[in-house]
Amino acid sequence: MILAISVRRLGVIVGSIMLATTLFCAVDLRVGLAEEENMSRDDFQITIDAQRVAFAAPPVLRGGKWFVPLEPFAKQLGLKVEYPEGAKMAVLCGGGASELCVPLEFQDIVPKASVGSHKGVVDIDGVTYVQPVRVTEPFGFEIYEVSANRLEVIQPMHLAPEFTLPDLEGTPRRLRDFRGEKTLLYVWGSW
Amino acid sequence: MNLVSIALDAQGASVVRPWHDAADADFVTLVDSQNTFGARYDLKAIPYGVMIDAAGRLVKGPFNINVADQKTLAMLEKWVSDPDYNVKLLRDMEPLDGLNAQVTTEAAARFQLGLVLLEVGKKEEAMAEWRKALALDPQNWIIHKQIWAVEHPDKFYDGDVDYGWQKIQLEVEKGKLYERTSD
Repeated sequence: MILAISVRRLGVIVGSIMLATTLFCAVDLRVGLAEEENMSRDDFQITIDAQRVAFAAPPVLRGGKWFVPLEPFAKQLGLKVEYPEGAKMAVLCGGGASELCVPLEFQDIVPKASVGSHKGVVDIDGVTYVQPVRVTEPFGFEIYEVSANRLEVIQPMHLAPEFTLPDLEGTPRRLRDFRGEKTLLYVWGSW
Repeated sequence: MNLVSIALDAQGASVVRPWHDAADADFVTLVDSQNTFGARYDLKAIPYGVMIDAAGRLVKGPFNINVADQKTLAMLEKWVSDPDYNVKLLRDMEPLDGLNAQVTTEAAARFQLGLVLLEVGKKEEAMAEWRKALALDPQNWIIHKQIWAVEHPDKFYDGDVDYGWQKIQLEVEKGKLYERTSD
C-alpha cells in the first residue's frame, strides 16, 4: 500500500495548496474586475513564450475587442506580412515547411460598442490593426486568456500532447478540460 | 492546482478502484487500459509525473516522481505558488524526442496487440505478444510488470503487492535469460 499512502499524502499536500491558491484567486478576481473598469490601452498585454510583445503603436479596444498592430505581432510569431498591389488586403505567410498564406481584407473599424468579431484588418491612423485571433488561429497557435486584458499565445510545439481517457466511472476526460489551472499528472499502476 | 492520477492498467478500472479508494482520493483518476497515455508520452516505467501549466503547456516531464521526497514536494509547492518559476520551467523545457513520436516500434505494436487480445479474453495470445514485445524492449517495465500482474494476480491483488516476490522473480528471469544466451 506504499502507493496508496503516497497518493493520500500527495492529496493532502495538494489540498492545502489548492486552498491557498483559491484564496489568491479570489483576490486576483477582485483586482481583475477593478482593472477592467479602468482599463487603458497600456494595460493590454500579449506574451509569446512568456515574452511580452512590444508594440510601437498601442493596442486599441473597439466594441469590447482588442486590436493590435499587425506587423510586430506577426513578426513575433515568425510570420511575414505583405500588401499586394491593387488589393485592399494584407497577406500573412508562414508556417514553416508547408508555408501557408492567409489573406485578411481591409475593413472599416468596428463601431464602438458593437457586438461580434472582426474578420479582417483595419487601418487606424495609418497603422494596420488586427484582432489577435485572426492571426493565431489559421497558423495553429492557441490563445490562452489569462484575464480580459492579458493574452498568452501558445505555440503548438509547447502544448502538452492531448489525450482522452475514461475516469473510474467510464466518463471520457480530455486533458484540455483541465486547462485554466496548473495540472500535475501522476502516472502509476496497480502492479 | 489539478491533481490527476493516471493508472496504466491493462486490466482496467476494477484493479484501479481499490487503490483510489484506499487513498481516500478526492482527485480524478483516469484509467489507461490501452496504453494510450503511455505511448503518447513514451513511458517505460512508473511512477512518473508530468507538469502542465494553466495554458496547457508542458513545463516538466515526464519525470521520475517520488511523492515522499521533500525536494520534489518543495518543487511542486514552488511551482504552484510562484508564477516566475513556471516561466523558468517553460524556458528550460527542452523538446522531448520521444513525445508525439509517430513512429511505432515493433515492441510497441506487439504490446498494443496484446492489450487488445487481453480485452477480448485471449489471455495466452496476449501474453505471447507481450513476451515478444519485452524481448524487443527489455527495459520496458510497463510491459514487464503487466505480464507479472496478469500471470500472477495473487502477488498483486491479494492484499499488499508482494515486492519481495518481484525481486526473486526478476532474478529467476535473469537466470533463464543467461541460460538461453550461454547455450
